[in-house]
Amino acid sequence: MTSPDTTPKDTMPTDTTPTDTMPADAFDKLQSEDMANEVRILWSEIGIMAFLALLVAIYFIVE
Amino acid sequence: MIDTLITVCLGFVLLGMVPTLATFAQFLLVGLHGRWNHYPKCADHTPRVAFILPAWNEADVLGASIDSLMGIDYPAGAWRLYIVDDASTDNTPEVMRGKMAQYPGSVFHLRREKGGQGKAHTLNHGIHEILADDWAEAIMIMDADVLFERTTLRRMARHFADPEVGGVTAYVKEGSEPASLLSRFIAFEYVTAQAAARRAQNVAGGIPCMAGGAQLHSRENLLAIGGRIDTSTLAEDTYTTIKTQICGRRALFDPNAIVWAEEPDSLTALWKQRLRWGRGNLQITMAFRDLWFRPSRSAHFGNVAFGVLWFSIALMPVFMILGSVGLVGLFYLWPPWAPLAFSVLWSVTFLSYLFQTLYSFLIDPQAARRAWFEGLAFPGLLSVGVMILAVLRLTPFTATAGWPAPGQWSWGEIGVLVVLSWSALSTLAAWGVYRVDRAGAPKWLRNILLVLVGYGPLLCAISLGAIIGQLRSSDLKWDKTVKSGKARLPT
Repeated sequence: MTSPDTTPKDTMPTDTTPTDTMPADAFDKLQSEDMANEVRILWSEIGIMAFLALLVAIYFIVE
Repeated sequence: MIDTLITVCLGFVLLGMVPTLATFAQFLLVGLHGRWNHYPKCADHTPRVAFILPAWNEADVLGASIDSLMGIDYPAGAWRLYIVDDASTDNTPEVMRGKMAQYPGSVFHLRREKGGQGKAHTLNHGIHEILADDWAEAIMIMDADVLFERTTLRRMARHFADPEVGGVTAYVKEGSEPASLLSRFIAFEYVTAQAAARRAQNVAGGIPCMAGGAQLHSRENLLAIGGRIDTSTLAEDTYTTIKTQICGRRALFDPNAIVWAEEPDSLTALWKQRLRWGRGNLQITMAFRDLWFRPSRSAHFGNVAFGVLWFSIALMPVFMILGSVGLVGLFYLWPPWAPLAFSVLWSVTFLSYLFQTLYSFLIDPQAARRAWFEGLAFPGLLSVGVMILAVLRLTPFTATAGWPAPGQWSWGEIGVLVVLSWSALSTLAAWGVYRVDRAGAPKWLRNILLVLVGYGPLLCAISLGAIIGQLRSSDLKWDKTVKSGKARLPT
């Protein structure tokens, strides 16, 4: 199982079966936090674009 | 003949705008991640995960990264840590034994007797062991200095609820404490290159690189791409990412899954690391030469937009030099057009700079609080000055209303030439800053020069070094970036 340039594993972990999943509401909270962050970033982009459009408009008016 | 040369110069000026326009277009896609993301297909999915931590003389950082893993929020018994000791000659084995005693039953120790061949070789040793039995359902490739936040693995693994997904990467943030000017520059760079760019790539349907510091693969995907990491290039993470998508599975970036890493604190170490990345990417360009601009029917990966973006970054210094040559050529061949071309090129750059900088601050406010100055100074204060000259249509270095006539070799004309060729000169100046740092100049001097010349031009200079290195086929050697254990998880 090991290639020639190796020594075997020092320890073997205890094999356990995963049992505990995150409570459903905790996972939902994680999901909704992340989705809310993505929506915040979308609105941030719209805000920045509006701000820059205003700056460009002022630039051309002053010019 | 003159007309032809003028047309060529105008073409060069347009080519000089390609990297700016490509990255600007990519940034425009970032917000769409709020609508088009993979989260609706996620579920609380917790496959059995084997972490592979390659360690070659990592005694200074290994303990902290193992400690961070022990704090993750993931089902007990559903993850294991395999440390592949790559024949370390420092006290890595002692640190590892201490941690194995501290966390009994969670850590595998694999040791290679012949080390230092590179990360890919070390990973392959671990992958070979892990795939030899059927316990692992997913494999996390990580770096020895990477610190995981509590929910990072949970956030990454949830995407595997969708069987189309083959790999997921996290947002690697620079976490050195105390932070130096250089580490804050890198922190801001990672907002643009990861938090922003990879969101856009998720939207576009294909990402070129899952970060090697936190790259989670499903077992099926790892087997499909050959059951091993390619060792023929210096960019094994990019190779694996592209291969994943060519084999028909999705590669995703989860921007809310965060890990922290320590990045180089000297320009010499940064140059060495990025030169390796740059040359690796050029090797990838050749290795997948059939891919570019030839999209498959099933994926956007490899389409024209993707190809333009890839080459605009890989060949950025070439575009910058062509832009400068075009402006200087116009100044001599068709003087009335030079100010207009200069103004358009640098005004577009200024608009793109403003948009990307302000937006990056909002994408990652935590990084912005830490690195706002470095964000503003990213292109270099001198380049910002050139942008302002272009936007305000000031006559550079001349007191007269018009530009000096070409061919008189006055100071005004020299000033104009410097400004017109600044995108190429800044690359040269950045190389000079690197040489000053390498010569052992004090940090304060290096920092002043870096702020003036800019971190962006430094990256451009490294890319140029990578291109020259590849063209000359100079020695290709995997070279590890030394880490000292400065990264910290935020409290």
